[in-house]
Amino acid sequence: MIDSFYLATRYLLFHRVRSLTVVACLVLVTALPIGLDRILEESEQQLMARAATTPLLLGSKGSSLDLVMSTVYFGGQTPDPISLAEIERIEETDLAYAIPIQMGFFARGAPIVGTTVDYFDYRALSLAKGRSFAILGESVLGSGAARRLGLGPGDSLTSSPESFFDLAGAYPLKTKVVGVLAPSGTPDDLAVFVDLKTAWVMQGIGHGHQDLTRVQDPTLVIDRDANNVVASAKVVEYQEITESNRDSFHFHGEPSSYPVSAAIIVPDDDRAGTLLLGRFVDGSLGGQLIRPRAIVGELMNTIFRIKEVLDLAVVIVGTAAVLALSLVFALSFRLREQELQTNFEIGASRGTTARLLAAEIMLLGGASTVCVVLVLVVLDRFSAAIVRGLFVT
Amino acid sequence: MLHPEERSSPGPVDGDYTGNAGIAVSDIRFFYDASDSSGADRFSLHLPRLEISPGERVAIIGPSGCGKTTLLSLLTGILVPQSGHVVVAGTEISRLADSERRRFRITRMGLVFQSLALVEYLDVFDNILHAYRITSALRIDEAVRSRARSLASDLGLEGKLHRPVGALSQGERQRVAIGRALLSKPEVLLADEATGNLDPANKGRILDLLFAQLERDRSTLVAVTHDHELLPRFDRVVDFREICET
Repeated sequence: MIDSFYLATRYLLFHRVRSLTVVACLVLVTALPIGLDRILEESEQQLMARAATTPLLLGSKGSSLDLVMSTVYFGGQTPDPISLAEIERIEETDLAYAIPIQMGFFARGAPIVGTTVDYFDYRALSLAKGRSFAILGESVLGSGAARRLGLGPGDSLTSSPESFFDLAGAYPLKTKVVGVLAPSGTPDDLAVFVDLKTAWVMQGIGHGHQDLTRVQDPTLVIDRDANNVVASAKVVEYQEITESNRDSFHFHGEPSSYPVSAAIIVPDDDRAGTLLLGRFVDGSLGGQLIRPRAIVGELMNTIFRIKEVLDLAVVIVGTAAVLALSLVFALSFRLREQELQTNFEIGASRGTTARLLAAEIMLLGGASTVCVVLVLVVLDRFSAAIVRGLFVT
Repeated sequence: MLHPEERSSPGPVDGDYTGNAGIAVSDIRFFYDASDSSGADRFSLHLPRLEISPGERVAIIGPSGCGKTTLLSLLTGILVPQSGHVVVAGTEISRLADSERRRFRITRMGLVFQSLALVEYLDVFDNILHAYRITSALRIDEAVRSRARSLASDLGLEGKLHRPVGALSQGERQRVAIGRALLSKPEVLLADEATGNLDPANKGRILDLLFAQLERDRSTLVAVTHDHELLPRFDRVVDFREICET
């Protein structure tokens, strides 16, 4: 009986560092391109699925990719705002309805999305716990955000200050968590949703403070006449909206000038969508109206072009690794010349040597295949989360 | 055959050789490069006659380069003479095909190499069993494993069966090499400087162990040695000096 596999196993275990290095090389060379393909496939699937359910997106002129990444995937840079009036103009066409989205604030790392309850219906998001926001100062958490932050209905969550170094910036606002969404496998899972007006309060457009018509401290008021009271900087704004102070919250300025980052535009039908796009081309409406699917399609095309270069690099690196491994085997064979000669002198056939080496290669190949399969199974299981982690910050 | 401790030289060819002895060599000529028969420098060995009885313990001595190790290679069939006959245990191995010679060697002969040639990645037990793992001519069963353990015990290695051979002393490694050669109960044991690197106390002990095992298995021993202190322990000593001079 020729115990080729037994001897090969003993040899590989004795030289375990070398064996592990060879296996690691084989796993890397094999799993890397397959894993990269899997991640790209998942990226395309996730990005396109999200983009496909966002027919049109209205935002300020500038980078359409930034606009899509920020307001559809809640990642990247917040685009310049458009005014509420521009959204109203779209709705006045009776060709579509709009769902505003206001970005730019975070709560313990989770992006805060200011919107209306229409957003939940449009994205088919259901509540796992609690209810939707109904009044100023309430928030609803995505499932992932709730899990990460360890919060649920009844807890509170404070928005992060805009900048630690901007003393004139907006104050943090404490919101009351009233609901948690069911998991959707989309960027919505990682976000915190508030009413559009609550988002404006975070931004400082709306605020609440003590009634200046009744205050006794003269240092709180700079000027006062029959119609108007000008407060001094000493007046402290409320940082939490409660039952007792909710009525004191108010907004300054013309509502149509209030900012929004973007709006999902849902046309009545394809024709309506085409007509709306035409009006942005001829300049009769301000800002830019884009099809997120087209933007993401372009992004994926770019990524796939880059991947072609990466594939070539992987082939080159793979060839180099295979050559290096062949050299390792050749050198190992030379180092074992005396052992193999001894086997022959004892009485083993030349074929025994071939069988021994074949067994070693098969064991290394088998171990590498098992590792590659494990890596790919793990990757397959977590590829959706990995892609969300890559594209949603 | 000469008496014990008596020195002899390989004798002339004496008529037709019948091959009744344990080992019988007649008129062998061996060149390292057979294709170049014209060059005298290529000539390696010419041995007119050598007979070794079954169970006999023979030491081969002589200066380096006279062909002692070559003779062992011819006796094992690793090398094949260009002419002459080599008969071992009744089989003329110089007439066997390559695969038959290998099978004969691994099943009926034991070899102890000068360099020991242990397999460094195997432990003591697996080194003793090694010949069984590299051929289909031998089968490992419980009886073989039991004999390997028993041999290891006889050789004083019972507590070190699962130690890597790299962790053993030179004397212990020598005993592992002997264990490997003896496991298949060979009819002929060929040893090349088997005690070459050992101190005198260890040499004596190793030879005691070797002879005890050979006695038990009734095996023939042909040992190449430079150590003249050991010669009295052999039945016969064959001196290759004369071959070298011719």
